[in-house]
Amino acid sequence: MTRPTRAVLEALAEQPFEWRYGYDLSKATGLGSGTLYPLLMRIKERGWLESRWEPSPEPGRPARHMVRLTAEGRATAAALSPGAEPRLGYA
Amino acid sequence: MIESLVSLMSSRRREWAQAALAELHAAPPGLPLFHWTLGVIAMAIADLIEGVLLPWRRRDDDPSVDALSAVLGLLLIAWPLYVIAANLLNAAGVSVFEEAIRPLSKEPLGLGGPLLFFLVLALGGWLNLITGVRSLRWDNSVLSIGLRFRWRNLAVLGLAGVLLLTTLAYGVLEGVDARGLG
Repeated sequence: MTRPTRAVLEALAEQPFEWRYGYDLSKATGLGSGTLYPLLMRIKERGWLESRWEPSPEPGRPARHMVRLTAEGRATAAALSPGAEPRLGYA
Repeated sequence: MIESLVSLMSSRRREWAQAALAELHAAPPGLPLFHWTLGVIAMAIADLIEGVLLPWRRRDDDPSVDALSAVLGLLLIAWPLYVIAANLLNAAGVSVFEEAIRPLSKEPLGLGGPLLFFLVLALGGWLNLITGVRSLRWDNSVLSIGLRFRWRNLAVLGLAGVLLLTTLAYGVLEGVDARGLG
């Protein structure tokens, strides 16, 4: 698993049941949009992530895209924590 | 402008680029906003380049990459098409188009030379040929290639092929002539 993928999973695992915005994840991981979003796409294709669009509460603002870990994603992220056995291949 | 670029992306990645675009207002003005925007543009360009050069990696049947290949191919073959058409018209007695480019046609390695024609025609044709490759996989030492072309890519491919053959024939005939056989 690459370091950025691990960083994204770890950032999501800090609040494993919360929906997160991309920009917050970018701040938490230090990854730019050009790296973060292709990574999120691949993580979702692995079934570790779910996403949804949320209408903006402010009129005139576009809907925002949110992501959070699935049960499988949470298990994967938990396996990354120190002391846990690595069990996954490359993302 | 960014929205137009994003709309050209494959549907697999378009949603994610739109998600990144929706976060633009969350980024503070200045350098962070600039970096965020640059990242979205890089994503779109990388997707388009991958779609054009490695079309079999696409997971959907997105027509925008085929259209982009056709446009790029047409742009590439436009100049050889003009030069060859001008020479044909000149042979038929209409010299105005050929006269306009005559100074460029003297050098074999110049803008009107066959080497440049060969390169741009081959590139334009190649872009539209690989766009038709929908699947590519190795199974027990057997390479399976799935092809499906759109008419516009076939048209550009055909045109590039005809012009390439014309350029090659011209090069061969000129070569024979230059050796004193003509």
